[in-house]
Amino acid sequence: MTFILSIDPAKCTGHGRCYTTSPDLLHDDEDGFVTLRGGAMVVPPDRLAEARQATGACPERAISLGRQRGADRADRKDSDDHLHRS
Amino acid sequence: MARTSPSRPTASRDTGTCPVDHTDYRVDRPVLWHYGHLDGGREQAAVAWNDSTPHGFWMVQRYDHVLEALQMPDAFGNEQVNAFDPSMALKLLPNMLDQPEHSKLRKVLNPYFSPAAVKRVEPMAHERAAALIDEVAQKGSCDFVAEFAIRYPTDLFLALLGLPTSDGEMFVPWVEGIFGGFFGADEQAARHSEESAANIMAYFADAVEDRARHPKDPRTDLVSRLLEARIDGELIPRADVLTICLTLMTAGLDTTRSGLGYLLYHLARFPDDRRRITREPELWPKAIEEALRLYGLIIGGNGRLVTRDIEFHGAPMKKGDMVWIGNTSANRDPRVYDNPDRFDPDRAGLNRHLAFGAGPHRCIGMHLARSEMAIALREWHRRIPDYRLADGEPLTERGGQLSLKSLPLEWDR
Ligand code: HEM
Ligand code: SF4
Repeated sequence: MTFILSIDPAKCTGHGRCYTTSPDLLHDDEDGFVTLRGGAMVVPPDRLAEARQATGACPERAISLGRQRGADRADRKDSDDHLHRS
Repeated sequence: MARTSPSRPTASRDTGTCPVDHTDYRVDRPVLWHYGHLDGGREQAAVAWNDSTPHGFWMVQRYDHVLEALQMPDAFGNEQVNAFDPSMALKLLPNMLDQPEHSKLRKVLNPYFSPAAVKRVEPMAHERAAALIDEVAQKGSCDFVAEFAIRYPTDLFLALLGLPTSDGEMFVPWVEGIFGGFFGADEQAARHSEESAANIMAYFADAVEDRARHPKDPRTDLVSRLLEARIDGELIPRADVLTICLTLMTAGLDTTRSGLGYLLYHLARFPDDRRRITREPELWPKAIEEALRLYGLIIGGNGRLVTRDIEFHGAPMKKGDMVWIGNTSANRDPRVYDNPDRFDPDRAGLNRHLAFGAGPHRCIGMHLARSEMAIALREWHRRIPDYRLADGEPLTERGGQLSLKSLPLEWDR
């Protein structure tokens, strides 16, 4: 089972709680937004706890963490609508 | 932009299923009074109508509804942001812009307030904090609010704009003046507030003029950037540049002062919490978040103007109504936080508190405020680890935007 973490660009307003809480998983850009804003990533299995923490830290409820069945489709940076509603 | 007229008589309103709250939140009260009162209101209803001001306003009081309202900028607009006084003359930018203009200006400003930018001012913050605390440490007592908590962020703010920190002394009374009348109920204070704003604007006008003649590196200097930035191909009008400076100042100084005040007040009253954090200084960031959650500051200053008739959780809101977004109530909502009255830096879900707001207008200064507070608290407790409330008059908190009026502390030298 693969987990996908995605960030809804409409909701993310750059609180930065996600990358502060989980600095090994998520990072800030120059404007203070998370670099993954509007994108999605495959969560490495040993990072699942951090991904959960980041998800729970976002005041805007902008982060979703969902399962994806089947083959890993690695590191997709494009935003993919069905991933945002898990 | 079409103007929505904010003039609606408050008498004989249809308040739907909502109770009516008569409390005037603009006046000074005994310390911690507001929190108890807000808790009562929130537990009574999700939304209430308040008729204590000439215009009246809706109060959104629970966490889920507060977040929902903040994420509905098309229904709850920012043309007016003072729930107590929708005809407030003071203009604030970027606060009083709606989309898409708002996000265009935020794009220009955000890089100067990001965590990366805040790191650049940290050495200066340590230096200012240390200097100001050294000044009071020898005395064995001080009014923390007046002698440290307002001076420190004022000096830093000036430094952030590339202005001399020595002007801080002159600035403080102006900042006080603005806030005295901003949310207040009496007319004399309102006039004094306008005078103070005029003084600050005149000061900034000179400073900005000087910067226009001698620009600095726009990548690190905010004022130089504001003078060259283009939005939709147009330079930002000079008057708006001044308004932005004034806004950053009014939004940034009083809040940081107030946040520091409540946290020290808490730590003076609960020595166990204080000892734990001074023993484990890596706890400061969490302790700051928890204090901001528990002792919210913003009550009414993040108002919204209803842009179209809408039924919101039982409230029949009309276009032109004002809405008071209850961030401070939300952060003490027992539906989200267990034992919300307890100070617990380890609590679950702490990060989701709404002390800095949410939605497009979330506080631009949040990273700066966090960093400034953490630095001040570390430096303070390194020098003055033990202190207590000095005997004296009972403490009061200012209404409108909460802040301790004074905080007399004493310690053994
Ligand atoms: C503990 C300190 C602070 C607290 C609790 C705080 C709280 C808030 C809140 C709740 C909002 C949202 C208002 C709304 O939704 O209408 C806000 C907005 C804002 N804050 Fe702060 N703030 C703090 C410090 C600062 C600092 C240090 C600065 C700047 C130097 C600042 C500048 C602003 C500005 C410019 C806005 C308006 C943003 C917009 O409308 O886009 N704040 N603040
Ligand atoms: S915490 Fe939420 S809003 Fe903030 S940067 Fe992360 S995803 Fe965006």
